[in-house]
Amino acid sequence: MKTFITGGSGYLGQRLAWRLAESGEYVHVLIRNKNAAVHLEHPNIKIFYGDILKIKSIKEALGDCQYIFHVAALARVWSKNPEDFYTVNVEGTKNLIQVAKETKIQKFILTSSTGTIGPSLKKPNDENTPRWSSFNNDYEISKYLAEKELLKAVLDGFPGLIVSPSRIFGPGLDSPSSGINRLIAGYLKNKVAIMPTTHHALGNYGFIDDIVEGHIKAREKGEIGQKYILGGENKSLGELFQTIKNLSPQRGLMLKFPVWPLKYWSWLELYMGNNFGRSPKITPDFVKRINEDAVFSSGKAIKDLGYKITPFEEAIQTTIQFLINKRAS
Amino acid sequence: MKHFALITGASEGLGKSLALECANKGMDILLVSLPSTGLPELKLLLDQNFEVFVDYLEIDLTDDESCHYLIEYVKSKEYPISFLINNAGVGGNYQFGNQDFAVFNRMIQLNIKALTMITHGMINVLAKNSQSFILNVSSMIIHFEGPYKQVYGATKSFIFYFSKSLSIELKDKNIQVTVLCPGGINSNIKMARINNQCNLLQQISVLYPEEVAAYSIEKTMKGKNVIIPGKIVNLYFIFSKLLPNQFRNWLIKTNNTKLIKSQQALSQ
Repeated sequence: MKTFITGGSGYLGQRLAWRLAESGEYVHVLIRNKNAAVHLEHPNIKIFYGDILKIKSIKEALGDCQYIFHVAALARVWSKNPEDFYTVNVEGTKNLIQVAKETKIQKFILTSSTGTIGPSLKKPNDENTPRWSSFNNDYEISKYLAEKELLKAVLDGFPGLIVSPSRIFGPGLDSPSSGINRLIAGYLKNKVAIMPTTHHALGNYGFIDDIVEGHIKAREKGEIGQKYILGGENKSLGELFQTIKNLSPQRGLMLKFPVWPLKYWSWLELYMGNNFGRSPKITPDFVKRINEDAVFSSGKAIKDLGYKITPFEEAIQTTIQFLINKRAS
Repeated sequence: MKHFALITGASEGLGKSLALECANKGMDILLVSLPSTGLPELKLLLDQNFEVFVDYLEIDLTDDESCHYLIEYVKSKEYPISFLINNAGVGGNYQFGNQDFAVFNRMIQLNIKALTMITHGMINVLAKNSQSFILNVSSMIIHFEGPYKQVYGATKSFIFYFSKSLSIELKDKNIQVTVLCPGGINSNIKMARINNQCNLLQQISVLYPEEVAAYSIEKTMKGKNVIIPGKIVNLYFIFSKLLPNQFRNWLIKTNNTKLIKSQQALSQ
């Protein structure tokens, strides 16, 4: 059995490729950057250099693989050119589907995000919850459009399905796509974390190893045309900060900061980004989300795929230990 | 008093946010929008999250018959509508001479005729309550006359005058009429993408439909006649009055030209 993974040099893709390779499977990865290859040096991983924006690259890397995990995405809050999100996330997905259609692929698993479903009301969001909140960032819009492309292909008989991780954290490569890892790393390094004074909003925090297993289970048992939320426990922002503080070996400060100035700060960050190319630390959309719940149920994946959730505290503990060891090395 | 809201154009953008805000405030709701725009799903979402009665009607309001049907539907069901929200509307930037008249006809039909017919048909229903509200959605662009928005802007000016006039007329019937003049709103994916390509001064004036909805409902219930949401928008509005006319017109023209270009780019 051979599996092709896009985004193999990224946070989730690398972890997934490694997990499959360790279990004895053969994996093809397509990466752009030669420096990223060090994390993929495994006898069962075959590295191809290229780009999902080039059909030729995809054809070479796909070879005779029967399964595709399309993990690659521009996953961040900002890009100097907003069109990049659409080029990479939508056109990239279209390219992969186009090439995969010509081969005897058995399953195509698109990694999306719970961000396409958006915030929740009183009841936890599931795979069928319609988007009620406005779309305000290009990442979420592009992932939403990528899902639509896949579902359109499914109608023509394409064996595609979707997995949607929530806010992902845990051991792995440094990445802009895990804010929680950066939060913990920052706290361990500076002994200070800044938390908003209003921290009641609930979020869903998915542990990377659960999400990796969820991907593999989706490949085994996932039904064509379906979507599966791969999340973790729902916790408030306050609980998240408190857990990090409690489980860190060192003492540190949790500074409280009101939310309203953040809006103006995010405008300044956006200005700096647009004019000097400095990636904003926060965006207006991020500020809007601070007070919105984003509760998700992974019930469907648990029931249909046998998805398992590592208890929140255990997952945070593992992450802290990983980040401490990484600093020491 | 428990309110019953009728919201047109409720499936997307500001209309959807208004529906959620009304439900959040405990109002029963009749949602009206085009067929297959997600009203059954929206009803289900509201049913699951709020303890209010929700019904929906999937009709095309650019058709006179549909407007009549809506009015008759409300009367036959005896829905005690006390909050009429005329939100449905179509916009866009077009070169007048190069565009099919059908596009402008649709704007006039929906933004002017449907709104007027529905309001007319609902007056007696609204008047039965001890206090009722009409919220009409106009636009900030009525204060910034510029190219490519000729018909759209004119329909919104109609709504503005109509609302202000009616507001005085209906005072003794306990019907409060409010007109909403929003600036840019991230009301759907297309608008969000157009807005994200604007410069920072424009970007920071863009509002989320959720905040516009919450603010509008609150201010309408407080009896405000004209609502302009957003601090930045208000600031720009005051500032624009101080500018020399020629410069002001140049600014609007530059802005609208940019808008029509991004609209064309996205519809390709």
